[in-house]
Amino acid sequence: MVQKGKGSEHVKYKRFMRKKFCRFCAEKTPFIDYKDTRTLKSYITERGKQLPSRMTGTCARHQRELTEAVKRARNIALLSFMEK
Amino acid sequence: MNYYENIVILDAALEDTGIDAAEKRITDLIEKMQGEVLKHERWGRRKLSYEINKHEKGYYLFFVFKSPPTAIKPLEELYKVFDPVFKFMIIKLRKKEVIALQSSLQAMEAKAAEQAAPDVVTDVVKDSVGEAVVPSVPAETAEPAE
Repeated sequence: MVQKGKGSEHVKYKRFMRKKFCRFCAEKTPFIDYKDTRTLKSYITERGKQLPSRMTGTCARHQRELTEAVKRARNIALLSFMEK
Repeated sequence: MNYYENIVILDAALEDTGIDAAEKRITDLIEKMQGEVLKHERWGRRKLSYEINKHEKGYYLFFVFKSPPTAIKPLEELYKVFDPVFKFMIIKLRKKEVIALQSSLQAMEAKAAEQAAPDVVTDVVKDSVGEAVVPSVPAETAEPAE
C-alpha cells in the first residue's frame, strides 16, 4: 500500500497532514500525573482503551509513562477499564 | 525515608464522624511507624468509574507521607481488615515527583505564611485608621446590590 501511494496521491495526502508532536515534550511536563484524569482522557478512546502513539504523536518515553498513569487511574476507579 | 502517595476509598454511606475516625486511624498508624503526613486532602464523595464490591460511590481520601519502607506493610494490613475501606492504592514517588512535591509544599508554606502575615498588617491598619475604613466598605458592597 505504501508503494502504491508513492505517486502524486501520496504527495497530496502528505500536504494535508499536520505534523504530530509529543505534547509532554513540548510542554516539558516533569511527570505525568495519574490523578489528572482530564489529560489522561484525551489519550484514551471512548471505550476506555489507550490510544496508540502513532495516532497521538506521543514519544516513546512519554507513551510508557502515560500507560503507567492510565493503569494507576484505572486501579483506583478514576478511569474505567471499559466503558459500556 | 521514602515518599509515598496513598489514595483510600471509603464507603460513601459513612457519616462525617466515621470518616474523621478513619482518617485519624490512618494518620495515627503512619505516625506510629515513624512516618510523617505531609499532605492530606479529602476529595469527597465521587462516583466510581466502575463498580467495586457493589459500591457505586466512594469517599476519596488522599495522603502524601514520608516514611521508612517498613511502614507500608502494616498500613496495607490495616486496610485489608479495616471495614470502611474497600479500595486503596499506595504508590512510591519517583525522584521527579518528589521534587515537584517539595516545591509545591514550599509554595503551600509560603502561602500560609503570607496569609498569616497580612492579617497582622490589616489589624494594625484597622486599629490606626479605625472608623475611616469601616464605613467605606458597606457603601461599596451596597451599590452593586441595588
